[in-house]
Amino acid sequence: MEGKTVLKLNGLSKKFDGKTVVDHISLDIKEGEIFGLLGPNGAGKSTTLNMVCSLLKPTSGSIEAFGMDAAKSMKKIKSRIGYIPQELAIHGNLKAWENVELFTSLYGVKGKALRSAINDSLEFVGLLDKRNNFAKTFSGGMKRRLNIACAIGHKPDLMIFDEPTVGIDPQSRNFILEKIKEANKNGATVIYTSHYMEEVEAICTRIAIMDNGRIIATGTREELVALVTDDPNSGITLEEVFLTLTGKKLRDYAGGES
Amino acid sequence: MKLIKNNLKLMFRCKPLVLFILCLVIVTGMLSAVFKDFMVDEYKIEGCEVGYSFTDGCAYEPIKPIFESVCEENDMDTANFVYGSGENAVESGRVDVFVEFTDDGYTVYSDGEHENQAGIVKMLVSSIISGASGAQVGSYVTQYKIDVLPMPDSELYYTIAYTVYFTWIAMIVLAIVISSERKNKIGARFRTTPASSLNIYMSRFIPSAIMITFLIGVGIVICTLIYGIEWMEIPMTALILFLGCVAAAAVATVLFSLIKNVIVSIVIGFCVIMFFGFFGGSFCAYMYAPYADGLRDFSPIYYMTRSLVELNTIGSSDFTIPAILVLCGISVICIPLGMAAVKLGKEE
Repeated sequence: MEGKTVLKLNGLSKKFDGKTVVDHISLDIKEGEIFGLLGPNGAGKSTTLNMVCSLLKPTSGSIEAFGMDAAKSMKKIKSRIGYIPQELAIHGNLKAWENVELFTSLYGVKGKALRSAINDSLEFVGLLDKRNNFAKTFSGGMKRRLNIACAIGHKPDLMIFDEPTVGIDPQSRNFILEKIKEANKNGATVIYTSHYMEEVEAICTRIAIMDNGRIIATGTREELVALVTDDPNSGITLEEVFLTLTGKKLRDYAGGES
Repeated sequence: MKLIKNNLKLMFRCKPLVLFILCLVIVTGMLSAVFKDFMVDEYKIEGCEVGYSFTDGCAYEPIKPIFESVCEENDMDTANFVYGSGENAVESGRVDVFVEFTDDGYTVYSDGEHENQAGIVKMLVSSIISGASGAQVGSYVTQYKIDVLPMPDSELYYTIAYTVYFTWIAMIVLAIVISSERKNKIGARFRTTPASSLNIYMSRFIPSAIMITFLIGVGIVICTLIYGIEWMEIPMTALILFLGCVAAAAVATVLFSLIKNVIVSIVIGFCVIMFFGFFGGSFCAYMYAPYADGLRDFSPIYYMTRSLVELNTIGSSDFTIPAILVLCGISVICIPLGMAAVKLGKEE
């Protein structure tokens, strides 16, 4: 990738009660990439993304986005990021368009532009015809799509998807993946985390594998495969690469994903 | 603005809030009915028959014409008796109150039913004697008129007391928004947007103030229509109630932003409101509440209730300005506190 750097992490660390969850990670994410962040439970993926979105303060290290230092210009940076959280962050007692309106307006979008953004976002996720339905009446897949619509109304340059396909049917999952590729084609840089290796293989242009708070490998799918085999025609999958690099030991943590 | 509008929609779509208005109307109706006789008996000071007598050559005899005149002004009929017949006159029911003047002083007799009147007579006599001691007695006569203030009937008192009480209870409307935000992790999502602490604070405070005002407005209109309340000072009453709604919303915003658990916030809020309501005349009419003034002074409910009761019975109240100041003060103090609470939540 030769594009401009959209997001740069320099020696980023996060400790909780003395326990290091993210350990001096450094990353460069270029404009136009769909960057996959893979890792077992507790690897530090969500913590890293939470620091990028300013939900958590880094213990050490720095974040630069769009050429700005996050410590100084977080408000400007936030206005160019669309964060799609793992949890469904929507109000059930608001209609679909009201949910999108609520979140999009927080980015300073007003008037005609807001109305247009609401329609564009709902159309993008295939919910325009359901715009007047209450979110609580939606199926799991529809809620996931609405969750995405709420984060893209302000047309962000960087979209961060934190496991957006958890618990939904294959059709909805496929729809969401197609839309992520479409958004990327329209100019958005994407960071994508998931436990589904085939998803990451299908859409990501570059992948980082995290384990125990560190990035243990970064590269394209082919580059990652090359780390575990010299045979380019081995047919080895990303999942096999992942298991080879991170091991087969169970990674269940009482505190959940960090 | 859109966040404010949508939070307001969330509140208006919560149908159980209709019960809130019903509760206000029903509680007011029940209490005003239960305490109707009590309020009438306690507040009404009727005229009475006052007998009096002087010992021969009594030093107080010169005040006799003033005493008669003052009693007349205060709806009391007087009758002169022979000295020594006081107790008998009261016991036989010929008079309600009797004053026996001697050189050493005076004694007031009354039966159990006329203790209030006896107290008034005692006060009158005391005033006349002290006034007459160093001046021309005639010039003091008009000062002895007891100014019995008009008192509220039970419907008016309990409509005011419970409207004020429910104004504060109505702070729970914010729980609708807060619980939805917490349940759906929306607070975390807000923090990924450029919205400031002030934006978030206002998005909670303004819809709450509007919703509380709406609920109380509808409740008081229904009470007025059902119980036939006659308001003397509508603009000032509306202003104080509105300021109360704003102050309640401001306190709610701080409380719900500061405490992470919605149920705990509600319980704490209810306890604090009950405490202030206890000293503020919500459960026992403040005229009869046996509490020290110092405790009342801490209760915004007391200032609101007393001010509104006096405004609508007398037409004015010394408590109006303090009530307005207290309510404005609460609202103003809560803005930085609420913003700090929101910011604290952001940094967690």
